[in-house]
Amino acid sequence: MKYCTRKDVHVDRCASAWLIRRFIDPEAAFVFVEGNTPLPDTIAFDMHGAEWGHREGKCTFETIVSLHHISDSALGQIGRIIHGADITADADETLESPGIDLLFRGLHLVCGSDEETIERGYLIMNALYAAIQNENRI
Amino acid sequence: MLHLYSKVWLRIVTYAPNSWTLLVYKIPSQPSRLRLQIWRKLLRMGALYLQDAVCVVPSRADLDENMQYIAEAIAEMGGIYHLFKASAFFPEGGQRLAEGFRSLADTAFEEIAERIEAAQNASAEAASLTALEAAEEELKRERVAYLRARRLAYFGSDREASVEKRLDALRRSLDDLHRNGK
Repeated sequence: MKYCTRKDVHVDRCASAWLIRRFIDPEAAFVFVEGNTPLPDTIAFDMHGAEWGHREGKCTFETIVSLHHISDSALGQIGRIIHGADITADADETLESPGIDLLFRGLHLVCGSDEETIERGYLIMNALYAAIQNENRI
Repeated sequence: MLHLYSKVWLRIVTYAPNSWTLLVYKIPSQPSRLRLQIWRKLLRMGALYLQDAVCVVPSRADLDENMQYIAEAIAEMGGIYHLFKASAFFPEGGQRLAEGFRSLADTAFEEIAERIEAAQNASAEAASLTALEAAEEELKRERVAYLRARRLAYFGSDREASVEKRLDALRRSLDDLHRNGK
């Protein structure tokens, strides 16, 4: 299945792409468009009006976790981190949020395309997930 | 490596300092908490109010996106918004806005500096372990406040360095008090 989002991906879209591919659809492919009109036959995420988007104060990552009823406490924690990283007014949501925001802003600067940003972001998200899972085991 | 640097440079130069995102909005007057909610959100993201219900942030991808989230929240409340990309017609206009942001950041840093000074004075008189612990907590709060103010100082502030020095001075004072067995 193809998943569509806006160009110039930042933290919420990178994290959501990781979430989709790792927990919902391992075969997921991502396409990027200008503006807010998704391509036909794709599932839109983090786009204006999309079901998989900002809803009821949640960021897209949190919405997707909630819509798919994924019960994983590490994902719950990551959701709060991504929320604070994505929504500037809530940057104090977690201690990690401002750092993760900065990291993904930098990632966008050094990557040549959205595809590359998503791919490299995948490693960061795997690392974050592993660290939180490890922390929870102690 | 050169290719990587040139890519980074190209992205940085596209962040023009005279490019702004402007939000004009109207929210139903009742309940008043809705207006307060939006006002707080905008202040927490470092927006500069030009007048009532008209505010601006420098145009940067993440800030633009956040302005869109807030605009959508206004619509969900039954309000009306107009969200624009804007540039000042005259160079002075852009400079004035940058100055407004600097002034906003200066105020935030000055408030922190005042609180650190009060904590510094209180710690000098701290006669008990409880008072010392309270000063430690205050130092933690002010460090977080400093980091937040620095993140929102989109055009910098002359006051930033002095706040950092005051925080370090308070840290040293508390360490001395701990060492002297207070």
